[in-house]
Amino acid sequence: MRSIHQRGPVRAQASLTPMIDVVFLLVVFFVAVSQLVDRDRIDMDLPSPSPSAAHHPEEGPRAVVNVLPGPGGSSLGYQVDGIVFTPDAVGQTDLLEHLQLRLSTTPELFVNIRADSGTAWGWVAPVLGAARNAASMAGQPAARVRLTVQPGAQSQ
Amino acid sequence: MSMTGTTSITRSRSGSSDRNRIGVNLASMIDVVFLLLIYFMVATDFRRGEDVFRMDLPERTGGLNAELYEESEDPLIVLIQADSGSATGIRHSIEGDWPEIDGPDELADFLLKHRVGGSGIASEAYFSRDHPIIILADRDIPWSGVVAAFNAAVRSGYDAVSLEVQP
Repeated sequence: MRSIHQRGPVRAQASLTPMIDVVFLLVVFFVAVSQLVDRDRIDMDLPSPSPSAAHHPEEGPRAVVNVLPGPGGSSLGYQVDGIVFTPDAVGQTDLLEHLQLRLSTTPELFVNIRADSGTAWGWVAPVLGAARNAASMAGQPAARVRLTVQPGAQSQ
Repeated sequence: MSMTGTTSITRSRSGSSDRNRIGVNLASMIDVVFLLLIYFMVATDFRRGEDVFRMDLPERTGGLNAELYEESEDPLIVLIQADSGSATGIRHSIEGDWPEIDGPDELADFLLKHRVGGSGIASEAYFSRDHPIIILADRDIPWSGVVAAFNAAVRSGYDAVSLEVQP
């Protein structure tokens, strides 16, 4: 008891180090998530069939092809991995080569197609063709394509 | 590591302790980090997860100019055409001697009725689960209309559904 009195009053101190660690982790998380969202998911009105038979995508490598919506149901281009391909014959050939390159390094790659509800089918079909031909040129028996939709009411 | 560049050195006035006390002022750093945290929490858009339809597109034998339908089994072809006379602007039909269909829901009913193990009578169940179904749509049909037909076929229990564009 005597030694306590000799030390004087107790000074309480809050250790800030764990809090700073946690806050920095949160900041890094939000920075990373923001970049991921911006890169693969272009803002568009995806189809929402109801009742829907779509399912949650299984994990695996993927290339997300965004069909950029244009005026009157047209398309301004195709965006994959941050690269925009023009919606003409040259752009479609470049898209095919890009997908083929991705498939050659990642054979189990899924090609996810995202297109706006109002985009005409004629602008989306070349993406399917490119995916099919890229898989064929990469020596795969079939292209692994997924059509992306907005989650709706599930069918029974 | 000096994060904020602010270091305070205070000399104790008490005569008994003559040592220098060095401390890092963390208050301004915490202010900045919290502002960053709040900014990213507000700016980040947490969207709902998206669902997908799986569709395997088999290789066309004979190159790009091969015939459209080279499956071993005759595929069931669902036609989707623009129709200014209908309310939705889309007309659904099935190639061959089949009754008219009005919309994706009727298409789903038809496919389910004629699937083996489906909702219809056994004598009218012509198609197995893996019977190829091709949805052949006009170029001007909105993507949502094509997806609705695809969804109807998948909802009816078919596995081999693919899309083609009307030449």
